[in-house]
Amino acid sequence: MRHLSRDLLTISSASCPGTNMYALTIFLVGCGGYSLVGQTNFDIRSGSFQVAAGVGASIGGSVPVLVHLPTGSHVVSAADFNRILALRSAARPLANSGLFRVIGWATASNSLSVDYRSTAAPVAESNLSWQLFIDEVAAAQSWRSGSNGTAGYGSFSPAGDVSSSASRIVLKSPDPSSWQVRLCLESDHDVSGSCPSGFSIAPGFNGNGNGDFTEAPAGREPWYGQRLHLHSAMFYNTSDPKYLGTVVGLSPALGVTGSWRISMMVDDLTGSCAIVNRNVSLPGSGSGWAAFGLCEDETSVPAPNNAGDPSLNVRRLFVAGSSNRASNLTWTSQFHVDNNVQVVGFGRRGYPVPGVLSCYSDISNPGNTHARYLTSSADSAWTGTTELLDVEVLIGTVDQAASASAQPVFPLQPARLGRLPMLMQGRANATQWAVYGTYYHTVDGVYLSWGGPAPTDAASGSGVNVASGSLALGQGVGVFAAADPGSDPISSPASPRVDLVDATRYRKTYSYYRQVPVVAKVIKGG
Amino acid sequence: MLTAKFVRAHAIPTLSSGQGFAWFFRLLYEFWGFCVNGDNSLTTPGAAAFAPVTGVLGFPANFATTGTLASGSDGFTAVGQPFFNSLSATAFSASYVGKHVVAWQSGSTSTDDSVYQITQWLNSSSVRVNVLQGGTPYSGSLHPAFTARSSVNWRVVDFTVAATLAGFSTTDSLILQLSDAGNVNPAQPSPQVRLRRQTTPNLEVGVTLSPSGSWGVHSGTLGFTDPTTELLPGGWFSGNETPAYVSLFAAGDFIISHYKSSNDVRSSGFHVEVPQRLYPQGTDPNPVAGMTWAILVPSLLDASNHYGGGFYMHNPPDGSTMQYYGAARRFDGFDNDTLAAATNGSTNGAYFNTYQNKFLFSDVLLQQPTVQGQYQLGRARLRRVRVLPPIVPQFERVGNNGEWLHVVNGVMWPWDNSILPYNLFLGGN
Repeated sequence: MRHLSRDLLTISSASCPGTNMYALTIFLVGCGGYSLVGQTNFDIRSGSFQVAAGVGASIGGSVPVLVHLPTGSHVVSAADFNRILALRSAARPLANSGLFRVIGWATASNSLSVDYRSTAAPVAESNLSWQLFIDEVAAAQSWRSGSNGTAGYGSFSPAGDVSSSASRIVLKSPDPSSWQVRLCLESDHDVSGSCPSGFSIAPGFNGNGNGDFTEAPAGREPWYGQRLHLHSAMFYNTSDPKYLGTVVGLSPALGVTGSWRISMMVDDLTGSCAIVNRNVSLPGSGSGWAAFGLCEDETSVPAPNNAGDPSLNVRRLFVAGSSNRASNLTWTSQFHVDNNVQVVGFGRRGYPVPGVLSCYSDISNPGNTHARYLTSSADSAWTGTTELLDVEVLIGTVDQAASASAQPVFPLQPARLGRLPMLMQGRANATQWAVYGTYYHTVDGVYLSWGGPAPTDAASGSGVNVASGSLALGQGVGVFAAADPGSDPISSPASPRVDLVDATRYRKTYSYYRQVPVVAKVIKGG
Repeated sequence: MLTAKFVRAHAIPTLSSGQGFAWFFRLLYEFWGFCVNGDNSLTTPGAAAFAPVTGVLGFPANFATTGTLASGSDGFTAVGQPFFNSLSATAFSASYVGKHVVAWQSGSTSTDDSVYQITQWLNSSSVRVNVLQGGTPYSGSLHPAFTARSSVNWRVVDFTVAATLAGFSTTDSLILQLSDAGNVNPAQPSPQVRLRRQTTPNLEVGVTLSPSGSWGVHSGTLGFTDPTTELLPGGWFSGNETPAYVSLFAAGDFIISHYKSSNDVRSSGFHVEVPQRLYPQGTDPNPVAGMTWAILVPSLLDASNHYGGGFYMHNPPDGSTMQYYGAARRFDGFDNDTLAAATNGSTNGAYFNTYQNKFLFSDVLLQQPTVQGQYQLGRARLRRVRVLPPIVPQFERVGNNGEWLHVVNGVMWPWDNSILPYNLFLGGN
C-alpha cells in the first residue's frame, strides 16, 4: 500500500538539507512501516524528536481539519504548535496519511488543527496510527556534522575511539528482505571531499547502532565480511574526489535556510520511496527529487531459497537523487553533473556502481528535437489525456571517467534493475505543479504518482494515459544473454549460487572451477 | 501463430526485368499462404492467409498454380538431416533439382515450415535440400536442420516458370491478413495489408494498410474502406532486380522482407506488423504499422526512414496516414545522445556486460510529435524489432534464446537462435 505525504510546507527558517532528512525519516517511520536500527544525533524516538505516538486518532471531515488524539496518549497544548503530525491511514493512504503541520489545538476535544495542504476537505476517518514530532527548527538544534578526524570517510564511526558526531540514522524497511536505508548529514570534511551533496541516502544491509553500515558480522556466512550498501565513500572509506557522483542524496540548496514544500510517497510493503521538493524561498533552485528502494518489475529476484541473502538483495537496491549541491527536477541523469540526477546501484562484483535513468528518446533525434520537450507538445489528440511512459533504472552504463583517454573508476557493467517506482515521464511543457489524473506534474516532465487530493494551489490538468514497459509482458529494456555466433546458449542462473560452491569440496571431481576453458566461438560438444 | 518463421537467403537467379519481381511475389504467396498460414489443403492457401474476396488480385490466370510440379501430405524428415522425404514412391523427379520444396504442417510453430531449394535428387522418394534456408537450429551445432516430423504437407514449385508467365500488371496484389492481431491486442480484428507489385514507373512494392481488414467490394468497387495512403518508397532497384537474395520473416502478426539485388549495394524491403496497443482499446482498436524502404540500408540514424521515422499508421482523429518516429530507451541518461549515435570506443562496455555476458537493448515506441494537433507521445510499441547500439557486430544473436538477430546498424529482427555458416544477407545489406 502506498502512502502519500502531501506538500508539507517547511517553516521559513528551516535548514537545508537537514529538513529533508528529518521529513523523510519521520515519514518512513510514521507512514512507511520502517523501524529504527541505529542513529547518531538523530534520535527519532520518544523523548527526543518524537513527542508522542499511538493509535486511535480520528480525522474530521470538515475545514478546519481537526485530528482528535486519545487523551490517554497525549494531551494537546500550545506547545504542539508547528509540530509535525504523522498519520498513517489504512483506508485512505493517499489522502489521510502523511505529515501534517500542526496549526492549532482544541483543548476541549483534545484535537490538533492541521494544515491539510489541500482545499478539499478530508473524508472523516478514525483509528489512524499517529506520531507527533517536534518541528524541524527545534530538531535542528541537535543535528551535528563532526568528522571522525581521519583522512578517509569522516561521517562514520569505524571504531570505538574513532567516532563521528555527524547526524545519521539507519532504518529497516518493511520489505521481506529487510533492506535498510542510511540517511546522513555528511560532515564538512566529506562535503569538501566525496560527498558534496551534504545529505546522503544509501540503501544497504548491516546497519549498526551508530547509524552506520558495517561489514557483515561473523555468523552471517556466506556473506560474512562483505560491505553491502550504496554509499561509496563509506564503502571505500575515502574522501577521494574520484568517488564523486556515487554518494547520492537530495540537497537542492546546501547550507541555507528558507522554506520549501515536500511531497513524498512510500510503499509500506517494499519500502520504496520517492521525495519531491518544491522551492518557496530557498536561494537557488531549491527544487529536486530523489527515490530509492526496490524497482518494480525487477529483472533479478533471488530464488526462494536465496530470498534472504543480503548479498543478492543488495543488487536489487537503487537510489536516484543528487550527488552534488545543486539539483533539479529533471530526467537528465549524468555522472555527477549539477542539476542532473545521479543513480547508484550495486554491481555483481560487489561494489557500488553509478547508473542512469533510462527514458525514451528519439532514435534518430532529428535536430535534437525530443518529443517530450517540444513547445508544441500537447495532450493526446486521441484521448485528450497526457501520456506518461515509465522509466527504467540502469546501472553500470556510465562512469566517472568515461572518455577515450582516462582510466575508468567503475568498470562498465550494464544491468537493468527494473522500473522506477512512483515516477513517470511525460511531456515537459505540462503545467507545473499541477495534478493530471492520478499524477502530479512537478517540472520538466517529472510526474509523481499521486491519487490523493490536489495540493492547495495546484492547477488541474487533463487525465493521464499510462503506458508501462512491463518486462513480464515482454516490453521495456531487455537485458538478455548474448549468444556470440558459434558459442553455446547461455544457461539460466543456477540455484544455489555457483559462486558459493565450496571449491575445495569439489576439487577432486567436476566443479565449476575446473571446467575446461572454452575459447569464444568454439562450440562445446558441437 | 505468433511464432516467427523464416526464409533465409533465398536466391533468385538471373532473369529478365520484372520476372525476378514476379518470382518474389510467388515466393510471398507460397511462404505466407502455406508455410505461415497453411492448413491441410495442398492447392489453396490457408483460409486466414489472404483476404477472402480476391485476396490474390490480378496476376496471370495461372499464377498460383503454374510451376507447381507435385504435392503431397506424406512428407517426413529426420532430426539434424537435410533430406526431405515422401512416403510416395513417385514423389520426386530427378528434374526437380534446383526447384523448391514448400513444406508446412497445419497449425505448426516449427521453423521447418519454409521454402527450400532442392540441391540433390536421391531417389523418387527423397531429395536433399538447402536446409539452411529454413530449418530449426540443431541442438548440437545450432546450424539449421530439419526436425523429426511426419505427415508434412509439401509442394514442389518451379518459380522460374511462374515468374516467366505473361500478363503481369502493375495492379497485381496480395492482400495479406494479419490474423493473429487478436492475440497481440485484445479484441483486435485482423487488419490487412495490400502488397502491390508496382511496375510503372518503378519496380517497387506498394504497401497499403487496412486497420479493420476491409478488403472487398464496396459500392461496386473492389478495395478498402479504410486504407492508408499507399507507401511507395521509390524504385526498389537501380538496375535489374536479379540475381538477388531474399529473406522473409513472418508470423500471424507481421511480415518483414529484405530483398537485395546484386545491382546495388543497398537493399529494399518492408516491415508490417501489429504493434502493441498503448492507447485504450476503444480509442485505438486496430493498430497496424507499416514501413518500406528502397535501395537504402536499414538504419537507426535516418529521421525519415526505417526505424527512426519511416513507419506509417492510419490516424483516426483526422483520418490521415500519419508518419511515426521511433523512440528507444537511452542508456546513458542524456537526451542529446541517442542510442543510434553510439560510437565505437571506450564506452563499448556500457552496452555489453562482460561479467554477465549480456547485452542491453531497447524496444521501439512509435510517436508523433510534430503534426500540429496530433501529438502522440507513444501510440504503440513495435513488437518485431529491437534496437541496440550499432557498434555490436552484425549478425550477433542476442537474447537468452537468441531470439533477436542484429541484422545491420543496430536493427534486430526476430530470430530462432540459428547459426548460419554464411551471412544472412548474402548479397549485401
